[in-house]
Amino acid sequence: MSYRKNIILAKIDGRQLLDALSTATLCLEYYSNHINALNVFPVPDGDTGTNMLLTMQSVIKETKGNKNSDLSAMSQEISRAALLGARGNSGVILSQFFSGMAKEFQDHPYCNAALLAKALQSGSNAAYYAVSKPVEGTMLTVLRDLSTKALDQAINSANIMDVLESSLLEAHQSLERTPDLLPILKEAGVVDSGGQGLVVMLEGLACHFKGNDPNKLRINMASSAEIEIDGFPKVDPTFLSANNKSTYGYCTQFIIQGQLMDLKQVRFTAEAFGDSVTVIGDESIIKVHLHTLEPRRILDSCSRFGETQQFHVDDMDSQHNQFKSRGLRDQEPPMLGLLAVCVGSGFTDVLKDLGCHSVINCGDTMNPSAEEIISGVEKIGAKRVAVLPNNPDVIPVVLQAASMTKVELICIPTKSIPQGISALLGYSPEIAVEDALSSMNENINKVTTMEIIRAARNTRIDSTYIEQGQIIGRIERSMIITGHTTLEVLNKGILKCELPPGSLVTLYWGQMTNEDEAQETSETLQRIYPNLDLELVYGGQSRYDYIVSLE
Amino acid sequence: MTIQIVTDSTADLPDNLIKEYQISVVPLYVNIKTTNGLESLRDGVDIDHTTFYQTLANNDNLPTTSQPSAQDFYEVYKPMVDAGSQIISIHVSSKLSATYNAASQAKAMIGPNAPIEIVDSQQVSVGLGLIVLKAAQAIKETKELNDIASLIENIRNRIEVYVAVDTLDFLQKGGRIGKAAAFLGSVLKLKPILTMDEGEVRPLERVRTRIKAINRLAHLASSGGPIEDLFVFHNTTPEDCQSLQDTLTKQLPLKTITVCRLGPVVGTHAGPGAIGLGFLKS
Repeated sequence: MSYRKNIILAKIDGRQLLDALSTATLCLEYYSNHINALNVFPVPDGDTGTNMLLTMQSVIKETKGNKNSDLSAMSQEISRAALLGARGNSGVILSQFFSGMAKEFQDHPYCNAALLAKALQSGSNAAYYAVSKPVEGTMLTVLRDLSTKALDQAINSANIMDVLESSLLEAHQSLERTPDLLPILKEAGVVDSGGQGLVVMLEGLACHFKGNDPNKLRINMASSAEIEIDGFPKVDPTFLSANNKSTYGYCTQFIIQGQLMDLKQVRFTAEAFGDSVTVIGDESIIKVHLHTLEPRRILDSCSRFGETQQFHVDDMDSQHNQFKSRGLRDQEPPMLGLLAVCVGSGFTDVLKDLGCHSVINCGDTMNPSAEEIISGVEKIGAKRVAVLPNNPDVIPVVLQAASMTKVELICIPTKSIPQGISALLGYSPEIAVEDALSSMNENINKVTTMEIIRAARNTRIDSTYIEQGQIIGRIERSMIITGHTTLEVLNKGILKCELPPGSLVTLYWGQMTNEDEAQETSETLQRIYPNLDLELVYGGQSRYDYIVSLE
Repeated sequence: MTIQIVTDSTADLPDNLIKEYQISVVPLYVNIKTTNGLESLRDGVDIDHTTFYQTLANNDNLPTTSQPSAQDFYEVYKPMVDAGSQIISIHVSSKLSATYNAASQAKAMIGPNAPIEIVDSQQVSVGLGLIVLKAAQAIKETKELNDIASLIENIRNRIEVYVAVDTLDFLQKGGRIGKAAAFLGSVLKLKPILTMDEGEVRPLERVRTRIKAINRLAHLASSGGPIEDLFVFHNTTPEDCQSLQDTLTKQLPLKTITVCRLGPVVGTHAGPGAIGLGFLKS
């Protein structure tokens, strides 16, 4: 790194931008737990830090090895990688921001301060545009404030460092203001987590261009005193490159047929284009396999040895995946495909049992990438696929995925797994697709969802103080019930819902819950509510002790 | 020349209507394992509804059913033909039961030119009952066997039947629901709504509570355009059926809504707690 402090930076190219983003990603990694902890609810369902980090790591992974210094091309690639790797709401906003920037950078091999400021502005606009109901006091506000500041500064200074530093300062201040704009933040005594993530990234960018060691960077975090950060993480700066070594572009395979070919020369050529190179064969036929970012170029280069055949690239190209999966399918694809996102093996079974053609089981948290959704959707092979996000944070990712695939993707905006199951029950292969879709949409709100979880830390929601370890029940993600046992909270929650006789309460128990205990809880509740039907089903979710469907 | 109407016991018609329209009902058989061994009982003759459902609740062995023999039909047809009557014999869907075949054999026994018209209703229970009732009403007006046959054809296309079952177990064990049952899944408890389609039982919708299922049934009857006749039915839940009837009385401009109870044979396949309705669209 050749930059010094107070350096004048007149222009940056694509390579420099990517390197700076790598540093920013490293910083996000240090602070992701901290950003996660800024969730206003005691239930950390946003995972903002993790989602932003995963989105950025996907950018770094996808662009790694790209030696192109052209800013226009690089920013396009960054934008596409972010779109494909976007996780959660914050990831989607971030990716839209990059896509807005890329539009501004189009046809520019590098940028000066003025163009950078314009690109920030364009990115901020794109991010606002991507959110259907923008809320002030979130990362959108921070983005707008910092980009406005950048435009102001770029009028006075041609030094990119000046623009960056003044936007960084503004971002810090804007972040401090978020609780004034969004009351729920004030209530919880935190600043917006996505905004905090942006500040961390900007700090990383500034640190990079100053030539400072990101390991020594200490970011002044605006946050409540309650949050604990376990020391300052020390991450080896080589971590990023080492960690991503194994994934290197596209898995490329082809065959060369010729005469008196030299295996060594072919291998040598292949090694120049990528890694994981295997070259096997003899003088007349050679099979080449490698991981490369430039599959076409290696093919062209090898054509001088002989006739290239069976060119095969495993990449994210949607058509290719579709083609491949179509070849494997022995049945006619359905008129309407169904894909659901969930957490837990039990839920996966339920959703498949009820007719989902594909289920993305996220394992721990509900944050599938647009790419995972696209891949799941395309594997079904149907021309139209209805997607059940089953989480409010997944909805924007699904909408994002919809814009990136040739499959007609219809988002059924389910906000919980019980809503998803209810919507799914409205589906029937016997009726017209349009009717099935409207029936699914109608069914969404026919259930009430209650989630039972143990509080991770002391906090306050509305006027309720919650101690660490207390049991919290959330009805429809808003109404809060607390208690000392899951049974107590379940009981209170059912009572609050004022269900008419004959209603059904389905308890989906999670992987942390003991089966016997769940059985006993269900039986006790059935005794308390003889007029209701209690059903106990394994959900297998990781966080919530119970996810309850009331209908 | 008079026309006689014959049907089978799966029509689930109330006794008063059977008497009023002089309908001949050929019983199917319900086979129940008891301490005395396997008993084959004539539906509605050797065993009444109440006794049957008590037996069903208290007996671990699921009953089975079988169609009437050709001889059973012969014994009904022969005296009618000898008395110079023509016969319209309307039966349960041939895809659900071999009753239609038995009736056809009986006709052949009497003679290929016997004045007997055997009709596959492609229905069961109230769907069949509605067709039989309409045919019985029509023979008061017309004496032409062919006219009645084409009338039945017309009615058959206007009938819709929906049933909500408490569990699919009985239909599955009795083999009366096909591959389409996979659509209903097996992990969650459901109250599926089924319909008759081209002579077969088909799952229509997946509902999770009985209340929703009953509301949905009412909606299916009241939202699909004008209807002429409406039957509601149940087997073990008269109160639910009463409230369904009350709801529909308020919603629909009908003089009467006929209440039927599923008999032992249909009840064997639907299982206890079944509730539903059938109607004839205008």
